[in-house]
Amino acid sequence: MGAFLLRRLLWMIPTLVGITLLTFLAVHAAPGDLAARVGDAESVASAAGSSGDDRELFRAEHLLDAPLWKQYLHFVGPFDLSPQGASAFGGSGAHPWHGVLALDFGTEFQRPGVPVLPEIGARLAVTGPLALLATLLLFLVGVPLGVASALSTGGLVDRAARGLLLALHSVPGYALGLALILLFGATGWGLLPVLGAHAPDAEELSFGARLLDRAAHAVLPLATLCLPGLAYVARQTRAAVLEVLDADFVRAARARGLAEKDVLVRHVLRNALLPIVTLLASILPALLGGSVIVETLYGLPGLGSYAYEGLLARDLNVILGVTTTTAVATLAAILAADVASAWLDPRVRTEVRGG
Amino acid sequence: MSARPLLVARGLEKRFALPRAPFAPRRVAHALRGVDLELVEGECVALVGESGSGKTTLARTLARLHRPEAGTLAWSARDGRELDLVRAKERELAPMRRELGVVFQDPFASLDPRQTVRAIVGEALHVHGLARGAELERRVARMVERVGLPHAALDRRPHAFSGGERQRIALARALCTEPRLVLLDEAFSALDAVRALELVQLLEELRREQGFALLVVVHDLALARRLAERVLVLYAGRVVEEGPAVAVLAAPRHPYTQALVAAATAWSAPERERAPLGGDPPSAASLPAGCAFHPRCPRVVDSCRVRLPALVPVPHSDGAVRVACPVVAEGGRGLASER
Repeated sequence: MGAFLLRRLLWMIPTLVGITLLTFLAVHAAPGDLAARVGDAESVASAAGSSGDDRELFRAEHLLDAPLWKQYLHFVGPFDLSPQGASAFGGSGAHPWHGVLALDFGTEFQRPGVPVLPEIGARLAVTGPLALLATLLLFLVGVPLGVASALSTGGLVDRAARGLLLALHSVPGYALGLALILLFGATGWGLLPVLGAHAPDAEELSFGARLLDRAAHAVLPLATLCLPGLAYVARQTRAAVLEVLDADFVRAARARGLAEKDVLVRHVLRNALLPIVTLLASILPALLGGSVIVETLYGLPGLGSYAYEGLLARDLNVILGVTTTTAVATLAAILAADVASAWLDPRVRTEVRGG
Repeated sequence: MSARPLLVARGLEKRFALPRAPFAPRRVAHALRGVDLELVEGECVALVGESGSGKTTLARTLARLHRPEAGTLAWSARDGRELDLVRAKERELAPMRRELGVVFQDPFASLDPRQTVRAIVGEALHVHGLARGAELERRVARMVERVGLPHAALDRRPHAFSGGERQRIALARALCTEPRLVLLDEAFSALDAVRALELVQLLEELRREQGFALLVVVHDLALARRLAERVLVLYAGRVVEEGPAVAVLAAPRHPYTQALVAAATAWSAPERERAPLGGDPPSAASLPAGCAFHPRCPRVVDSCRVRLPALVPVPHSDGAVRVACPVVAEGGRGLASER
């Protein structure tokens, strides 16, 4: 198991290099000057009007005139290659460390001086719980729904569940989000808040009221995030259960006189739910991607809306920072799912335990 | 050996609803169309026929894995009571379940991959409360060793075994409760010839020891002849010929059985007089009128296209043979005398 884990962890390195390199090149390949908007932001902020010099300074600080390979190495780190960077590379030695390996994604383009990494941390505090709750909901609702659907194949429950799920699956996330806002927001029944992660006056509320306020604000984003995926989880579960239901060992168990409940629990579910665990690996990235739409719709200051803002502003450091974070989270989810299914798989398990 | 009937089936019908498009008419497959079968304690009966003839459906219906739509199915329990298998609720079937063992065709699908051999073999004993604790452990270990697997096999899971070994595990599972009826659905066809022969020999030994009745679904007619005392030939969900294995397989009377036997010996007898059986068995969803075999039958007459033939006794030197073919039953010497 140790060797397996180590091998998988080592494989993450080339994967991450590939992902970041692609993102890096894609942003650079897009037409236009990455520093084009610096002057605008600066003029608003300082009203000094000396945009030309500022732009030069900005370009130098972010190495935008350096060759691409040097820029990428600067991003990877751990040495700062800018004029203020490590003295070994011709810098002044003021900031010797920089880049992913030094856990430093640099500063934002859009807001000069604001470091990206702490901002990502703050945004993750919004997106993380949302994604985890959504995953939990997906499994707690989707799996039983799929099982119930499979057990009543062709029956009323099955047809109703499949119809509903097909409908949900067919609606794009943003349309569903808008519909929910229109229905539940102030324009509709006015039942739920539709903007932000909490009420503007949340700081003044008591602890309990604040919790309730956070929960109310999370309902619609969670629903928008979960509902399309619910169909996916339920359908996969249904298919897995149906496949096991038709296996000869289930037939043999019935022929031996096991009660139907025992057949289901001991033989069907234990075998059918194994592939469902691996679904986890494909759900988390989907949820992180979905968070871009959801957070933009509901005005949540999460990782998704950060990526969206970064893309609009062509903020290379934000884009790269968010991409790297998402990639690491995704690879970690895949690894976790692989380890879990390896652990649950009787074939692998015997090997691992040496029994 | 007492000639007490263990399982009696009369006029069994089994239909399956076929999947259909919305608003399309309901379609039904007639898998069994009035099958009679009597199984005496300790005897071995083979079901033969092409794929799709209803052998497996019949075996599964007899094991009450399917509930028949019509007909009767009676099991005589050890205490002498009759159990109506058609009407009984699942939990009322326990006396039958306890005394029935099944082995399926695919050794890779018939064992739960998550259970150890110990759990697989012991489950039925546990479920029916036949043994527990050390006694259960002892019986499971003895059974596993009896089918030729090492003691160490008990703690392994199915993936550690070959197809032949898995089939032995399945056999151990079926026999652990000392059943009175064992049902083998193509249990040998996934194995190579050597493994299959080993398993057949093992089965015969165990049958001598335990004296269970045996119902085998087989493709291999030679195997049917070796194992079974009686043979039922199925075609399109009906029995077309029935009788002692020696009689039916050595001198078949029904044109279908003749074609089946000819096909089975085709490799060793390259110069056959009769052409091989052409065409395919009919779909159970749209059966031809009259005798279902008439479109392929070399001896078809007009009445075959209209009237469904009944199973009637025909004279045979080797015992009581019944054939569902009016041509054979009435004039029937023509083909038999050719042999």
